[in-house]
Amino acid sequence: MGNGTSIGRVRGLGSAKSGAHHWMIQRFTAVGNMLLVLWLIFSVMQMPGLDYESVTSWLAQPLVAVPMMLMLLSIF
Amino acid sequence: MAHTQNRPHNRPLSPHLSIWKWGPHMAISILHRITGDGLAILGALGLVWWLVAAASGPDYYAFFLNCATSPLGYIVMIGLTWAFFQHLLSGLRHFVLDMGAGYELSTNKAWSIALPLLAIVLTAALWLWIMAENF
Repeated sequence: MGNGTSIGRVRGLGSAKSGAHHWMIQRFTAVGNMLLVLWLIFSVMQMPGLDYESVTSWLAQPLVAVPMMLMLLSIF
Repeated sequence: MAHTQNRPHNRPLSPHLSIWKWGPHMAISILHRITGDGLAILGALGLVWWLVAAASGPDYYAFFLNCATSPLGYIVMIGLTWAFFQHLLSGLRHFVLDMGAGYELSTNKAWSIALPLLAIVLTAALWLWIMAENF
């Protein structure tokens, strides 16, 4: 691979054959990031305060903890 | 590198950044990348720090709140919300471009100018709302 003629090099180096999959995954996580980060921003805006008590009791709810974990998975 | 030896000489190289006149479509493209990196590095660090602080107990959380509400903390948070709105809007633009729409020169230029302005308006609106609620 890579030592023959010019056309041979092009064929040998070619595509990695995983571009379409990577492209789709990028779009899926982009939509996930958009929805989940918007959820985070609006939730934080709705909270009565950002002190320790409010934040920990908010995070302790399953309906907050699960989207938070999904968001961390999606954005990373 | 073996293949550099038999590359024919005097072949043209493809034109790069320096030969193009800057336009809104180039600016929005580089803004998308810069805000994306900013969100991924600063935004992720800030988010994880906040969650770790909440998990570490009231004393450490108080220290975190102290940092976050310092003048530098506000500058970072306002910067991150702007980066978020900018990246969100130019990301939505990319979804439209992915469908093959919006490439006409005038359309492309109009959206490339409008979206960064809208990002600033949204950031200002969000922070004015926060200030109105809290001060």
